[in-house]
Amino acid sequence: MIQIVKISDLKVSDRSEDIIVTYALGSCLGLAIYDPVAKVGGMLHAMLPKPSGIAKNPFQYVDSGVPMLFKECYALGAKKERLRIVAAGCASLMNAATMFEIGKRNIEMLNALFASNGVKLSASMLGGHESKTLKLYMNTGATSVQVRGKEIQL
Amino acid sequence: MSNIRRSIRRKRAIKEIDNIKPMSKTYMTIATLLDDPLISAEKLEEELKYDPLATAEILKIANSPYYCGASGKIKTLQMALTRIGNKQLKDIVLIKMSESHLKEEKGYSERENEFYEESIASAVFAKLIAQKVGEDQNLAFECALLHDIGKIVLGRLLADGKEDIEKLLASGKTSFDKLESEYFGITHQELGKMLLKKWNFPEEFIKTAELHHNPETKEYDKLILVVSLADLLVKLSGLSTSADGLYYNADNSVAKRLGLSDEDIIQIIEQGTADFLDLKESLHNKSI
Ligand SMILES: [Fe+2]
Ligand SMILES: [Fe+2]
Repeated sequence: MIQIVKISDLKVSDRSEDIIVTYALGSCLGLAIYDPVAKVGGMLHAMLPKPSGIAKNPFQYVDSGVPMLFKECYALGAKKERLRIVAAGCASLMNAATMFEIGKRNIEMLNALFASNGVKLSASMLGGHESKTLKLYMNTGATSVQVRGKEIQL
Repeated sequence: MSNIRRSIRRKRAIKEIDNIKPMSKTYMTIATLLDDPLISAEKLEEELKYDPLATAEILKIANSPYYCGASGKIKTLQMALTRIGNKQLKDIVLIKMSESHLKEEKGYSERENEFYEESIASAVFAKLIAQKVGEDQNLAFECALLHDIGKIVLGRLLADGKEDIEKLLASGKTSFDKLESEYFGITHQELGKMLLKKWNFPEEFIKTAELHHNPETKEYDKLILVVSLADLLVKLSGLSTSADGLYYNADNSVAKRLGLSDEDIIQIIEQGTADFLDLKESLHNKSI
């Protein structure tokens, strides 16, 4: 079954027939993680690095959404050291200065979280000016990014 | 690219305006009537009597969490006038008026109804920004709703130039509106301006359509800045996946000239997205 991750949303699965997908990653971060032994995986579509005030929806933010993605996958039996981690999105407008660099700030937040937890990206397609679609195939753990109508394996 | 081909394409694009159907007269009339704060519901009903679905659809949007809080259902136009007011009702009428035009866009859009939703997201963001900077909220909403209307003209021709356009985009240096003028000899801004002029829209609408990607020009005023910023923030939020993506220059001075900080920008994205989701469900008529 196709599981769609909406903006500011999170989905996890342990069913091999699932394909988890998120559309329209602009400056948002799409993060897919997969444990090939437990055959457990999940995906987050986070919009902003961190909330301006109190977060109403933790999945909206990289700083709160990423830890929840990992925790929910651990709860289904995934193990940190086996995870394959793929990131996509974080596009930017052309000639953007800090004010509009949401994508870049999302990447920085992700890197900071990963550095302090000893986690590394296996593959990524970040930046650019186009919106992207990220897919995770639960049967194999394969991931792909679709850009301007072309699907590229990651 | 040869100048001759470009000018042929330009002519063709301008000619394409003739193939766009006119805006609904009924809705045009109602929108004008709603400029009067003392307008009676009977007058509106009189205009709508040949289109019974329209009232239901207007009320459906009025009852969305975006317009209507927890204080009970709005059942009639009279209730809508007293509860949300003539100005907000006019915003809704403009959504209904432009709906079929916005939904027909298939060139830039990759998904069904994408342009319609993206235009409404721009309107919602613009209203929020206008509120923050003390500009007319309803005018900002309405101008933003139609700021990209020129895309319904150029979108009909985009497929013809797909290969060349992909090549130009691959350089990563050409913004989409610049690419439009390089390939077609005309931009969606200019076509939007022509279309809105043809439909006799007020000057503010025409100026916003024309200048929303060039607010640095001398002619800008606050309203255009508001709509420009709304447009950029909707692109960042990922509420659209259209072919032009984020291939636009971020005019970093726009927010500054409006007196907005980095923190304000984050807040606007948060609130604007939440507002749009409050409105989104009511925009499609399936459940009526
Ligand atoms: Fe535009
Ligand atoms: Fe736009």
